[in-house]
Amino acid sequence: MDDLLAEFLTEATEGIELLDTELVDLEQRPDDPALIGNIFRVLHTIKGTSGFLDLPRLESVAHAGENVLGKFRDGELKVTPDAVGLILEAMDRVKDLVTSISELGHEPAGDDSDLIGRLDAGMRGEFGGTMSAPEVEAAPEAEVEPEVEAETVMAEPDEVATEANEEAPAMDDGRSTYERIGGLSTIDAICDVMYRHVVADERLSDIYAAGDVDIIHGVFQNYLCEATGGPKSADSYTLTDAHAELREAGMKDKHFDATFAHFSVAMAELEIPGADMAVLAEAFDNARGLVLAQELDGEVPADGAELTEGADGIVETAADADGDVAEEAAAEAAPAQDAPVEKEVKITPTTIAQSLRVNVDVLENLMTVVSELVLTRNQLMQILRERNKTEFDAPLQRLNQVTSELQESVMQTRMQPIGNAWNKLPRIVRDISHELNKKIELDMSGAETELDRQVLDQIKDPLTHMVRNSGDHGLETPEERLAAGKSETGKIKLSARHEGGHIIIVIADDGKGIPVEKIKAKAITNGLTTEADAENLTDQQILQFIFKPGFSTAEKVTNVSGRGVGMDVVRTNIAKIGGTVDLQSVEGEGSRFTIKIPLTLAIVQALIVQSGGDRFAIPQTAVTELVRTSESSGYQIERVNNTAVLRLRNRLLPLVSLRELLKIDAQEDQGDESYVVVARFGSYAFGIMVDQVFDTEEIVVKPVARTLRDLTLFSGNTILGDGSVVMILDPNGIVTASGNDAVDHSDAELEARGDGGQAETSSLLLFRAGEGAPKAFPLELVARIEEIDMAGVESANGGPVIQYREGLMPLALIDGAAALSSEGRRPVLVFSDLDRSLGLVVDEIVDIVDHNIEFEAHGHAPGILGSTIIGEQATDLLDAGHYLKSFGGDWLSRSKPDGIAGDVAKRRILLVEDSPFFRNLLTPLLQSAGYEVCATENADQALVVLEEQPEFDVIVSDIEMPGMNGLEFATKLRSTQAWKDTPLLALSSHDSQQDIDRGIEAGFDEYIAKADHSALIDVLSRSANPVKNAA
Amino acid sequence: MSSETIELCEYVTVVIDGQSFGVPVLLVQDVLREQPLTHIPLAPPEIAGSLNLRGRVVTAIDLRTRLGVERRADDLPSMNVVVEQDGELYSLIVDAVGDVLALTIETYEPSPATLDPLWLDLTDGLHRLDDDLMLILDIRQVLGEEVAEAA
Repeated sequence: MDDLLAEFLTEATEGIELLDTELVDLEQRPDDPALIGNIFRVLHTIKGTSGFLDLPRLESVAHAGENVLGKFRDGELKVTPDAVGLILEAMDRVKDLVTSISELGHEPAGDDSDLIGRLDAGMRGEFGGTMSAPEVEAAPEAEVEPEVEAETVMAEPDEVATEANEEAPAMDDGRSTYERIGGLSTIDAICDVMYRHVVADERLSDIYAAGDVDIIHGVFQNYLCEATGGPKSADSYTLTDAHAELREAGMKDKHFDATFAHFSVAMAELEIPGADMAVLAEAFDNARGLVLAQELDGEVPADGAELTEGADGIVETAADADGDVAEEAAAEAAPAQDAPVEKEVKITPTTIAQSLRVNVDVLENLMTVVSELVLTRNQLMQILRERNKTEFDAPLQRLNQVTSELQESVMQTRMQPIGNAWNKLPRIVRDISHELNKKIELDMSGAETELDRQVLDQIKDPLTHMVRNSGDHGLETPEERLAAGKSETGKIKLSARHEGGHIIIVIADDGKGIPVEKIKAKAITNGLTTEADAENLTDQQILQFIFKPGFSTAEKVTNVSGRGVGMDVVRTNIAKIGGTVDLQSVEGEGSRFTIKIPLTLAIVQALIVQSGGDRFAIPQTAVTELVRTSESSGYQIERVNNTAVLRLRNRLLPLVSLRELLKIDAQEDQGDESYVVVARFGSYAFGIMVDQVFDTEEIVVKPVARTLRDLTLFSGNTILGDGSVVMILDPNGIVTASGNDAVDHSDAELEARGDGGQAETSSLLLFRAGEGAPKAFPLELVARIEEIDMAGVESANGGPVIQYREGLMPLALIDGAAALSSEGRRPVLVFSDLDRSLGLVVDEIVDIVDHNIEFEAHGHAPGILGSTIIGEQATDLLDAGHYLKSFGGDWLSRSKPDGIAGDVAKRRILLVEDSPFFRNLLTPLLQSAGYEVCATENADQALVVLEEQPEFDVIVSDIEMPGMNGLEFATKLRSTQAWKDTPLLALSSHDSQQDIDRGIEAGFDEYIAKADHSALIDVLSRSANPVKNAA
Repeated sequence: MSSETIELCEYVTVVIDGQSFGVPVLLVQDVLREQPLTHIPLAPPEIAGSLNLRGRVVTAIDLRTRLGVERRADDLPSMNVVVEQDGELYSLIVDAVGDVLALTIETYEPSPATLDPLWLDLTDGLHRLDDDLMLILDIRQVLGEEVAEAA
C-alpha cells in the first residue's frame, strides 16, 4: 500500500471516528448547522481524496452522501429521522469501505447502487421510500456492531479463537448469517483475501488468469450475500455466467477444492465465527454445482450429509484457531511467487497503528518538563565543574548525554518539514490536470522548512484545497492560455520559508487571476454586501469575499474543487493557528496566496547578542555575517549626517543601533557597539550594531505575553540554556522601526521582476583598475577594446594622448588604476563619438558578462553609479558620463563645431525614466551616439520640460513608472497639438506581443526592450532623422 | 469578578507600600523570592521584566508602578506572586506576602467611591479585617488594563 493511501486511511478513520459522536448528536439535534457542516466536510474530504486515489466506490458513496448533506446545509431539505438514518447508513458504508481498504490494500469489489440510489432519492426529498425500506434500518445496525468486533480481533489475534467459540452459541438471535458476520463488507473481505490467494496459487493462477477476476469476484460476492440471507443483488450476472470462462479454462473439481481451501483460509484469517463459517462454507460448496455445472456428472453429488460433514470439519479447524488452517494457508501461499502481496496484507493494519497521534498539549508539557530538566542538568554540570574529580563524574556525564538526547527527541516529535504536507500534492495536481485537460506544472521550494507538527496538521488541508483551487479555477486550459499569449503549461508555485518569526507559505499560479467583477456580482447576489457598498470597495477588499462562508465562484460544481467549502474553511483553519491569508490577484496574470503562520512553537537557531547589558536572540536565518569593527580591522563605522553606515566589500550597509532602537541606557563599560550583525530581510540588507556577540543557540520560540504583543520589535521570547529569559528580535520589526520603508517596496519590485521573468539584463565589461572590487561599464558604451603600447603615449594639450587611427586619442585613467608608465602594454577602453575617440586606461580586462542589473548599493563615490554582485563578487558599476566629462567637460559636444558641417545640428532626445540607474546608463549611451539628452524622472516632470522647451526630436519613455505611467504619458502626448507627431519610443522590460500592442495602441511608434541598447540606437537613428529633415 | 463569587473566598495577602491587598488564592500559582529579571525594552513602565519559572516565561508586573505609588527603594526586598490568566503566567511584584485568609461576605465592602480612580479600577471592593483593610485586587483588570493601554 502506498503512503498516500495509508495516510488517507488514517485521516478518514480519524474523521469518521470524530463523527461517530456527532452522528448520534445529529439525531438529537437535527437542526444544528455546525454538525451538518462537520459531517459534510468529512465526506467532502473523503470524496475528494478517494477520487484521486482511484477508489470509485468510496468516492461515489461519499459524493451521494455529500449531495444530501449539502441540501441539509443549504436548508433545502429538512432533517428528518429517516434522512438521518440514511446518512448514518452512508457513513457506515463509508466506514466499512475504509476498513476493507485498510485490510485489503485496495477497494473491495461490490455494488453500492442501492444505497446511492436511495441517497439520490433522498436528495430529491424522498426518504425512507419503498426501495428496500426495511433494510435501511437494519443494515447500519448490523454492520456497525460486528465492525467493532472485527477491529478488536484484528488488533489481538490471540484472542480470536476464544471469541469464535463464544460467538458460536449466540447463533439463534434471529439475525441472518449475513447480518451477524458484518454484512457485505465482511463477505467482500473474505472474497478478496480468497482471490488474492487464488491468484497467487500456481495450481490455480492459469485458470483464473483467463477470467476477469474482478467480475468473478463481484458476482461471487453477490452470490454469497444472497446465500447468507443478505439483500439480493440487482446485478444480472449469475455465477454460472461469470464462471463460464473458468470452465473453458479447464476448471475441474480439484481446482474448485483448492479454491475452497483458500476460501476457508480467508474466513479463518478474517476470524469469522465458527457457526457462520459453516454457513458460508456450505453456501460456497453449493456454488460448486453452478460453477462446474457441465462437468458435474454426478461425480460429486451435492449430498447434504457430506456437505455437513465438510462444513463441520471446517468449523473444527477454525475452532482450533490459526493452527492447521493457518499453516495450511502458509504452506499454500509459500510456493506462490507473490510474496509481496502477502506482505502487503500483513503490513497494512500496522501502518495505521504506527502513526499514533498524540495531543499536542502532551508534547507541550513534555517540552516544558524537558526544558526544566535541561536547566537542572546545566546547574549540576556547573557545580561539578567547580570540583575536581568526584564519583559523580561518570553518572553525571551519562545524565548529561541522556538529557541531550531526550531534549532532541522531544523537539523532533514536534517538528516536521512542511514537505510532509506536500507529498500528495504532485499526485493531486497530476490528477487535476488529467481530469480537466490542463497542463500544470507544480513547482515546490522550501519543502525542508520545518514547522510544528500541530501547525503542519492544520495547514495541510488548506494547502491541498488551495492548490486544487489554483489548478481548477486559477489555471486556464491550454487553448485559453495560448490565446492569452501564455505558454500552454500553467504553473503553480508553492514555496515556504521562515521569515521574521513566521513561516510564509506562498501559493501562486500564473492563471487567469480572480475576476473582481464576478466576485463583486456574486457577493451582491449572495447578500454579502450591497451594490452601494460594493461600489466603494477596492478590488483588494472585493477579493476578500472569497473567504466568506458559502462563497464559491466556480460556475459549475466540479469534482475537483467542490462547492463552497473552499476558502472559508481555509481561512478558518489558518486563523485557528493564529495565521493569516493574504490574496493578491491580477486578472490575466494569476493569483497569489500568502499564508503567514506564526512560529509560536517552532525551534530556531538564534544568535545571542548583547546591547547595553541586555541580551537578545536574533534568528540565525536572518543573519548573513558578523563584522567586528575597529580602527585596525579595516572595517569602520562611518557617519553620514548622523546615520551610521558601514563599508562592506564596496557596498554601503545602513546600520541600526540596537541601543537607540530599544532605548537602552548603556553604562560606560558596556561596550561601544563595535559589532555589526549583518542581517537580511527580504532583499534588504542592513547591519545591527551591538555591544557583544555570543554563541548561536537552539531556542524554543515562546510567544510573548499578550501585554507585550504590540512590541513589533520582538517575535517572541525564549529561555536560554543558563535559565535566563531573552527576547527574540524580529528583523522585520527592526527594519520597520528603523524607518526604512523602502523595504517593502524593494521586495515587491524584486518579486514583480522575478514574476515577469523579464529581468533587466545588460552586458557588462568587467575590468580591474587598482585595488579592490572589479569595475564594470555597460558594454554598449565601449566602442572597442585596444591594447596600446605605453611607449607611444605622448603629451598634448595638457594630457596624455596617443596616435590612434590617424588621429590623436586623449587618454584618461580610471580612478585607482596604476599610473601611466612609459613601457609595457595596457588595455584601453575606447569610446567613440563621430570621428573622435577617447581612451580609458585600465589595468586588466576580466570578462564580459550578461548580468541582471540590480542595485545592491547606490554609489558613494564620484564616478560610481552603484554596486552589484557579479559572480559572488561585489562589482562597481562606473558612471561613463563622469569619465567622459573628465575629458574637458564638454568633450562630447566639442565635436560639434569642427564636425562635418550641416549634418550635426544636434538631435535632441527627451528621456523619461524613473530608475536612476537606467537614466545614468542611457544618458551617456545616447550622448555617445550623438544625441543631446534631457533626462527626466517621471512623466509629470517630462510634461513640464516639454512645456518649457518645445524642441525635442524624439521622446523615449519608460513604461513602468510610478505616478503617470508610460502608456498614459503617450496617450496624453498624442492628444496635444505640439507633440502628436513626434516620434515616441517606449522602453520596457516587458516585451511580450501583448505589451507591445498595448504600447502601440497608446501612441508609441516603437517598442524596445530596455536591455537592448543597440536596438534603441538603431531605432533612434531611423526615427530621429526624418523628423529633423522635415523640421 | 462578580460579587457572587466573593461570598467565601480565600486570599493571599500582599503588601504594597504599607497597604494590604488580597489576591484570590485560586489564581495564585507560586510565591517566589526576588528573581533575576530580564529587562524588556520598550515595554510599558509597569512591566518589570520577565523571568523563568520552571521553563515557562513569566511576565513580571511591578504593582507599585501599576498602582502609581512611588518606586521601591533599592534596598527593600520584594516578592513575586505568580498568577495565571488565560493560560499565561504573570508575576506580581509586591513588597511582602502575608497569610492566606479565608473571608466571607460578612466583612466585604465595596471600595469607597472616593478612592483614587486608578485604584478603583484595579480593585474589587475590600474586606474589613480586625486591624486592617484589605483591598481585593481585580487581577483581570490589573493585567487586562495594560492590554487595553497597549493596544
